Amino acid sequence: VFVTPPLRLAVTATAFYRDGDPRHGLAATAVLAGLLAAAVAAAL
Amino acid sequence: VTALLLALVGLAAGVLGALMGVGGGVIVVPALSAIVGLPFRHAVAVSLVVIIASSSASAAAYVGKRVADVKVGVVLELATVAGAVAGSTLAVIVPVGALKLAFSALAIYSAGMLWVRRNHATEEASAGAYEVRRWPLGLGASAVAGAVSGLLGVGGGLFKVPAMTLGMGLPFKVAAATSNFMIGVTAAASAYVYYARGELDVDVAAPVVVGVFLGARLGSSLLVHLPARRLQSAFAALLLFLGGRMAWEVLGAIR
Repeated sequence: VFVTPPLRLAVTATAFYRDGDPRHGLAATAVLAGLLAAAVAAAL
Repeated sequence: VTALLLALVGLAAGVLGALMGVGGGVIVVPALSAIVGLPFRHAVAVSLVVIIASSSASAAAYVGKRVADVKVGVVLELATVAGAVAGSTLAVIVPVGALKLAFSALAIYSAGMLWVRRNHATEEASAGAYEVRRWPLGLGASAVAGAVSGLLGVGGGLFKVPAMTLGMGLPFKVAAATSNFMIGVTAAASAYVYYARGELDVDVAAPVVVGVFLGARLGSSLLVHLPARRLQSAFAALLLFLGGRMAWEVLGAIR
């Protein structure tokens, strides 16, 4: 359950880049980075 | 018997979440307190996991059917994440009672507006077949949803769905599906914190999550078939109930 949100964002970002939509790809990547940062901060 | 009851609670939360674009925490938190006497913070931790499970199960269906507007979702989620960080920071400064009162006022206002405009609800259920407007309003509401999520441990769908429907011009079904896509990400950030603190009771969460998966799949198959006007009215009633209950709690505590 914990892994699905970042996985979903990674798949979404990849799909946007693949479809030639780098702006939305960047937005999804930024959200993914924020989520991973929150996970790392919680673990520390 | 307890596990079966918990799975049934999850089933109800999953159906509600998939149909309304909320995580179902409004059912899970009080039910867990009543059935297994879980302390509030532990119930919130399970609720966050339920939101992620509900979001994962229904978002997969909604993205596949192109009901969820993923482009709108990822842009709004940027504001939500920023709001969640700000909310976590503000948690030590702003009194929770004041936030709850602000939430209840906004919820009651949104309920009224959704009820008034219920006859304008369209049956449109495909992403992109409309003009998205008032981005600043949507981003602002998403930031507030993120802040509330960080403070109270909820998904924020109660803010996102009215903002997308009333403010940005998304049809109700698309807004509910898009909110479902977003709330799992919002809840995940908070869920990691609760898990790291050791406040997540996995034995309680597991049967609820099983029920939620089933309920969310059922709810996501029902969404496109149910009339948008009824769904919007039901969402307004849910907002009114939650806003009223929260205001009652805060004002009762003051008195």
